[in-house]
Amino acid sequence: MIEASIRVLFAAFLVVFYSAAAFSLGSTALRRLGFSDQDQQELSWAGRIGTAFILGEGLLASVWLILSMLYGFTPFFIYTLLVLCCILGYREAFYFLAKGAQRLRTVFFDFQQEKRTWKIVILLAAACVLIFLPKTLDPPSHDAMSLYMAVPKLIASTHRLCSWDGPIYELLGYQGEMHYAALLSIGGEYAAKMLTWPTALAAAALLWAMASRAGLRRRGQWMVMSMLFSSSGFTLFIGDGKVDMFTAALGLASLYWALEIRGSGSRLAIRIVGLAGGFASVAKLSYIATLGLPLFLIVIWRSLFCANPTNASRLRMLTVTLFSVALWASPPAILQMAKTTVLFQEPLAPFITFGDHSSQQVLSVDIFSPSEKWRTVLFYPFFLTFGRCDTQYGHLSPLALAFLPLAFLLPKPKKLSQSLLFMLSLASLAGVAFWAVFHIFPAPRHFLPPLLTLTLLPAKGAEKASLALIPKRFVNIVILIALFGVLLKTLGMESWHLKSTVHYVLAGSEHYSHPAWQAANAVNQAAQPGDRIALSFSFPYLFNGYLLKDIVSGNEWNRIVTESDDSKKLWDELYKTGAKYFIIDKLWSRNTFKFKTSVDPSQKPDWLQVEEIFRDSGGRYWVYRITKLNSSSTPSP
Amino acid sequence: MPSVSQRKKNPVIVFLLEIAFGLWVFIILSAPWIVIPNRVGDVLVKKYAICSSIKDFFSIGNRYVKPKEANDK
Repeated sequence: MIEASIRVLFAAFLVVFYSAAAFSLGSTALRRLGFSDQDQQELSWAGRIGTAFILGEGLLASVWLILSMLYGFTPFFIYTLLVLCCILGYREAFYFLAKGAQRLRTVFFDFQQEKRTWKIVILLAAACVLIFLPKTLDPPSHDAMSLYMAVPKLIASTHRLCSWDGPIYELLGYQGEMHYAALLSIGGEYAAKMLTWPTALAAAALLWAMASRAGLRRRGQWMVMSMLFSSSGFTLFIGDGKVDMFTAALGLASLYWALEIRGSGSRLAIRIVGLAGGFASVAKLSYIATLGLPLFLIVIWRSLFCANPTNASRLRMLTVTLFSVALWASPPAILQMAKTTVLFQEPLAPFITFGDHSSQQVLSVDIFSPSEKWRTVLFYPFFLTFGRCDTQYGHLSPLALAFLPLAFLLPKPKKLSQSLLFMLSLASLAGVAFWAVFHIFPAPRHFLPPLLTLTLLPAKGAEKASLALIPKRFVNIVILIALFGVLLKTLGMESWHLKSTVHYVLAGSEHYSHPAWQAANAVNQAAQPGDRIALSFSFPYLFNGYLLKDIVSGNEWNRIVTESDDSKKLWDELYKTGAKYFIIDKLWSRNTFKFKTSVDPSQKPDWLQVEEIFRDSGGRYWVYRITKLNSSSTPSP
Repeated sequence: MPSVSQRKKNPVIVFLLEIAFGLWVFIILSAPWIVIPNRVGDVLVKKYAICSSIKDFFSIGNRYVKPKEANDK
């Protein structure tokens, strides 16, 4: 109990320290990019603080990537750089925080002015924000243990950028992965996953700022927060070990700053749109279209309708703005080219590859029948809210769809071209619609920034209806019931979930009772540094870091599976790879590897000893030790 | 006191619109209980055929393929 508490507290301390470094770096970068005292007055406090943190994270991930390419990704350098960021940027960070704190008072003042029922709604929404903090202590998700935290653990243990051959995922840019790698190096699993919570807060701050910019009042902003934290498509990425939270936050930062573009004179906004958009798109390929299109439309609109036409011709201004945004988006792209060159000698991956690393799998997923495609496209908002689709991974809050009709009752703006809410919603809709029509797959993670931005419109509609002069109107009561119901359900589900979180924290990953952990721990205890492990098991993350670099690679596995016609041959081939341990998840292997033979330890070459060192009670996970019996016999050629 | 814009509207139409909105919200908030896997949904789907149809409608992809659609693939 005490040991678990110390582990959690140490992780929390590290995350605060890491966040402070990211915030300091981001604040300094904002200033260097041209942030002035006038911007301080004009911009929302939430937007400033959120941007500083997210930008700092983006830059920090780039620093870690460069460090890992230079073989210098050691805890010493990581600590040194984090301390340097804090020392060099603390003045700017305090300046930003102090100004933000002043403006934060208005939020409390507005809260006091609210009616009692709305105060309860606001408190419930705030509780929903907090309830996701302990969720970061959960075991990592399936995908995280396969890839998103496994590769960072490999980088952390080898102190350099490296990878296993095979997974197409390796061709994509690293954002969250580098944060995980840094925190795994200096702190461990809890700290790495806990960082997603402040990142989610920064994303929420940016959405809050966008709502304010689009004309929503305090009640509307809280409705947006209610929608955000009741959207599992967003909250699932808090603490699950996947990396979409980092890219979504960067995407929201770029959308927020796109609204600040007022022609080619808005240097700060243009630079941040380019940098943040570039970081996000490199790390999440689908964002090139789903974030790029809304950004493109907003930049056009802001340049054509909101700039001062006397400065230069509008078309020239637009060209300069677009060129500048692209220019500022290029550093993340160049870094990505360097990364894929170091890893695979494929500078243009994943778009153009010269070797075996086909980009086809990344760019197209065709899993639906024609009838399913039509059904999905026609009812896309409904599928986003409660669809059951392969690997959909989360939904949009039902509040967004429930309040959507109220958006149509909003009074028409006097000038549509001057309405930020209209333009932002239209641009975001274009991004989501592009994905819906051309890729279909209704998984929110592929277009999270524009999707979350779309919640502003129904929130504005609901806010307008709830602020009507007759407070006991039926519509007002329905809005309150919907908010109470959804927020209480979110709180209830997460509170119920806390039990399993506590179980995992108390046991620790070394003693966790899940059979997959037990199987991996059997290998961790038996294997020595340098021993090779053959995995027919999807959670490499669970192994000790020093064992990861010697895992039997994907290409070796493919050869073993295709060439092994019988069990003897399979063990023979496994031995030839140098594997000393073989771990198999029989259920997963049946669906993933098409073994031509059964994995039978009794059917083995005579000169080989295959010893079963672990088998779970359900018979799903097995671990074998492979050793050569005597030196006189030799393996088959 | 109602605002100027509200005074102009026919109260019957406003009332009907409000009822329609209430129904809409009820449907949207209750649908996830049927479609997204949970115990309430399981009980409802076992008991009422209409819930099963809704669940089938929103289930797509290889994992949720239904026998009648298998031929499409």
